[in-house]
Amino acid sequence: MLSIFIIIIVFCLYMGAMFVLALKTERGSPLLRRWSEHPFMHACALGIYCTTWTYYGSVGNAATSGLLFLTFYLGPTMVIFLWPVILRKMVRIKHNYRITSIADFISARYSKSQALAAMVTVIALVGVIPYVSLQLRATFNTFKILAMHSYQGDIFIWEQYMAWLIIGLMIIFTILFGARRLDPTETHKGMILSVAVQSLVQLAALLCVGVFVTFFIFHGFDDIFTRLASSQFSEMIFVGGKDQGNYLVWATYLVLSMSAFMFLPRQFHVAVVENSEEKNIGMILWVFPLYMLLINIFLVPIAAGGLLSGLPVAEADSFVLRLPLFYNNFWLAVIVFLGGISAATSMIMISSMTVATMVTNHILLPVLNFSPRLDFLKKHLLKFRWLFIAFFILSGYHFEKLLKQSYMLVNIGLISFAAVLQFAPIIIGALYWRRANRRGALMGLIGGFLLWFYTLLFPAIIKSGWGSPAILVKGPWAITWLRPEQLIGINIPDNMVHAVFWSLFVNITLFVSGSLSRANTAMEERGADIFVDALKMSSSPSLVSEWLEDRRIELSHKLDLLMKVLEKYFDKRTAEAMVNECLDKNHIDVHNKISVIQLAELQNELEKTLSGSLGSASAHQVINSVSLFTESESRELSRVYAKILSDLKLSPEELISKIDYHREREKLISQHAAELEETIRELDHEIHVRSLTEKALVESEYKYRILVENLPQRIFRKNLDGVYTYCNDVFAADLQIMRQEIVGKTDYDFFPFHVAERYREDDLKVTDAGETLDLEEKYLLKGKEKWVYTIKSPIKDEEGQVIGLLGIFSDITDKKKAQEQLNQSKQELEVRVKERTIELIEANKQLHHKISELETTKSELEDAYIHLKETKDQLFQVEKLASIGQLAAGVAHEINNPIGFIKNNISMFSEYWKLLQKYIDEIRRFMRSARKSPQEQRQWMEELEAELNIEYIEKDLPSLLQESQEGTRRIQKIITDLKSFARKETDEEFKEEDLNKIVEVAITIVNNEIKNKCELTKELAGLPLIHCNAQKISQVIINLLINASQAMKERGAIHIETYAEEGYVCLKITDNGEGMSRQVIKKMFDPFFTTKEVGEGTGLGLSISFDIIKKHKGSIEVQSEVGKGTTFLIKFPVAHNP
Amino acid sequence: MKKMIKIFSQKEFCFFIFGVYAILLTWPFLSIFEQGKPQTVFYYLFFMWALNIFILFIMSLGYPRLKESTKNTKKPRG
Repeated sequence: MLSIFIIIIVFCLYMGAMFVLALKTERGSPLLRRWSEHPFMHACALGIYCTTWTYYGSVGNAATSGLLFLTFYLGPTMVIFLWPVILRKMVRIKHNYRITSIADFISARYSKSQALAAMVTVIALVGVIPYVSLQLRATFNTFKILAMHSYQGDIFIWEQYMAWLIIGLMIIFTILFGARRLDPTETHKGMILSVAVQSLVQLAALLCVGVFVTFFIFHGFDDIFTRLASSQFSEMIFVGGKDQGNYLVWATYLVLSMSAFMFLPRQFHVAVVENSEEKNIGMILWVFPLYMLLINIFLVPIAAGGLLSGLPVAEADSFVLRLPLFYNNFWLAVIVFLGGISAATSMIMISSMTVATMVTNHILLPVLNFSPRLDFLKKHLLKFRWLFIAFFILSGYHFEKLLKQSYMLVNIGLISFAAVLQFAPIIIGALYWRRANRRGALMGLIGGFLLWFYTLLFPAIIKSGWGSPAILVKGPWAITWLRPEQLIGINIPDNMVHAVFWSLFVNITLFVSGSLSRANTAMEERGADIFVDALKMSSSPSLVSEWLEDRRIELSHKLDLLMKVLEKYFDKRTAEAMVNECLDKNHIDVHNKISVIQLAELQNELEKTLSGSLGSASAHQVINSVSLFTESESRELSRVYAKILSDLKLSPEELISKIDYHREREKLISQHAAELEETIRELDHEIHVRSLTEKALVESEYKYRILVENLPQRIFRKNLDGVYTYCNDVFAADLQIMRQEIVGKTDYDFFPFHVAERYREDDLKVTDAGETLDLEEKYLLKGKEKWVYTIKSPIKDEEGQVIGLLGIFSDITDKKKAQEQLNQSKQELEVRVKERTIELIEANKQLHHKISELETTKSELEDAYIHLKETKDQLFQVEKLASIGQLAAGVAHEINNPIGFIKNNISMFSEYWKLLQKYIDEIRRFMRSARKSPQEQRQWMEELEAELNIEYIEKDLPSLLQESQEGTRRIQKIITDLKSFARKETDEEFKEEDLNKIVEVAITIVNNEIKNKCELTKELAGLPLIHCNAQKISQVIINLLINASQAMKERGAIHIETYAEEGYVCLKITDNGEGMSRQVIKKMFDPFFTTKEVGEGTGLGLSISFDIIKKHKGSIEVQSEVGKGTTFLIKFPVAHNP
Repeated sequence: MKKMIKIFSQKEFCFFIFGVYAILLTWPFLSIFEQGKPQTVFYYLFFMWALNIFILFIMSLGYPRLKESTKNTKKPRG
């Protein structure tokens, strides 16, 4: 739904913009007015030839008929070659005779025939209405496609709404800018500018799609052609292929398009009627073909792109729109839609405007003139024109509804072209054949039109379903030689070629034979002269007669008569404006009397002016209806002509010829005079420019002289021989000679020979090489030797040849002195810099010495640090060994216990072994000495075992072994732990360890020391690993446990607790000993601080423990109260703490 | 160039070049270009078109700049 709104809004904005553009132009905006008259815009306005039939239809044609569609654009491009001759003539005729339409043009040539004009109007009307339908259908269809692309619902209402919106806007636009008033010139600047802009929009849109398809969807022309060649659509880039019959169609279409481009009413209107100046044709010549080329260059790629993208051939007419939608480019599709709207609206507006003008002037007006009772309607001609415009557009709409997809509507473009072709013979004849006359033109046009109707339009109507197809097959009344598409049995495969052949054949034959069948009337002769010799005739023919000055006619009465008739058609103001314009053009003073010749001129001029509004035929009729000449005046006029004839002794034909000759002569003289005036103006301008140039030159020379004379530099000029040709006063003053005396002499005249010789050499260097030389040299100035800086440049003529030299030199003696002083200062400065450098080198040496001393000190400090570190390590070790020493007795006791019971067990083993040895010996002996019964043997064995107590030994021996093994294990563990503790380890031995195991090891070592003094309890929770040196942590725990046990005067308790807390593993050791005072707590971690008796402790235990904990990034906290006990809380960070 | 403009702007040249194009853009010339690659005729037609524009451009340079035809320089006689 949104997209529908967007389309409608964009359409309204676009039409609004066109409306504003046309309005501003009509209201006289200087810029837009200038643009509207610019030949480029006029050339673009001719783009009205490219309707939606081009915009959408040509792509469809390309997809189905190959390159045949190009004929419709190649034909116009070819016929433009003839425009400098034909169009120029037509525009000249239009200017001179105020032609308003093609019907008017034809009528003006052929006796101002109303019948002929009406006939042309009817043909135009028959061709235009279906063509308007075609434009409307294309517009509605594209809206539908665009709307349906994004809105799936029913869009019927929107279609209707859009249709009426488009029609309404077109009617309003056409009336406002095409028929707002009865304009004698029938030029519509606003509308033409709007049409030109719309043509450019249309072109831009088509180029956008073309570039999009050719270069974004595919990879250029070659890519498309290659794919096309290998596809089923390869035939579409052929003209005729093997069928040479296609070339006949090709040639026929070329002819059709040529004539359509020239004679379609809308084309005629834009090319001729709206052409304000003949010189516009110059630019139109190449701009319009370029426009056509650009609009066509991408049509084949677009058609091919659609087919290769898989779009159905039946929809080829809308590929231009469907392709952007197919590739999801909605906004490009909107631009395409606007281009299509442009193509349709331009055509509809101009066509309806021209046809409305033709119908009003050549059908309605003759009817009104026929009956005096309808006179009152003549004042409403303009309103009738509006009505006709609305009628045509609405008829086009209803025709579109009626015909839908019929054969006729699809082919109406070509059918219209064939209709317009009927104008071609009589227009070309009008321009180039003097014998062409009204009869021939009427016969040719009627014959051609009837044949066109019978062979083309009639079959189209039948094929559209409005008649029996049998007529086409069998012919009317079964007369086969009357078959519309095979007339007289001639079988031409293409209907269009058939129709064009017959209609043109009959048209030309009747036109020529009709024209030759009777002599031309005077009016026809006059018309022939005007048209055939248009480019030779005076642009403003007037019945000039220098020898008739007899002014006796009262002008006011004649003007009243003219006003009376004009007011039937126009309001009073317009009529007055028309009359005044005619009076001005003929230089007639309204207050004076006029001659009969001037009256005739006035009548003539008014007829021409009226032609602009009513057409030449009606204007002629209207003016002739006024009894402008009284009987006596008519006689007077006749008398004048008779006198001319008698004076000249000429026949009337010769008189006309003479008049023409004089007109031509007058024109030539006028032109010559104008050219002379122009030449004089140009010469005046040239003289003025030259005098300005000379003045500027004098001023420039004066400035130059002032500059040269006042410069302090010496300036001179020499020729190639070294002769002075100029010097300034300063130069002369240096030589103490008058300036005039220097000119003409050489350096040899002023300087010593060797100096002059040197100067000469320098001069030759400059003149020979042709390059500038600059040098510093010594120069004799007022008898003193001075330094000068000299520049010598070659002087060259226009061809670059050296013709002398220019020298400038200036005294630089002061500068030289200053430079010398500068050099001296520089040297002094250099000496000072050298001295200072030596001082700096010395200072640098001393600095190096200091640095080496500092390095030695640093090395000593490092040694001291290493020594200190070693000492510290030794202290660690000493403290550790001290702990071991302190624990040694306990450890020995711990080991002694198991050794004791192992020893006892070994004694028992020895006893048991003796008894077992005896038992074995007795058995061996008994077995060797006697053989007794089994019963005796059993008895003997029982007695022996009882004697040696074998049964007890068997039971006791395993437990003895087990006890001994347990003892050795305990010893081994104690020794291992002790060894582990006592080992000297480095700081780097950090591993991931379980704190609980470290606690167990420490307890093992200190167990004997503390077990007699206190009861040790532990509460070890599961812990994460910590990154630590296990030996050092053991040392800390041992220290704390020994200190705790030593702090107890009587048996106490120590509780060890481990737990994990917030990324830390915590070890809490609590005792209920004596506790510590605050002073002791403050100093307890200081090295060598101890509360023990001398010899009992080193005072390093807690200090080292503190260091160890810090190295493990841990912390230690103490809570102690005298008499109650102490708690140490140690925290270590968990290894790999997340 | 001036010579070319002069030739191109003659009335006879208009008819001549029209005739030449009438031959170049119809049978048998077109059939010759349809013998090769399919796109040859397409390129031929557009080349001829571009050439046509060039010729017309030269013709336009020589197109006479006419004075306004409706201008009347006569003195009032009334």
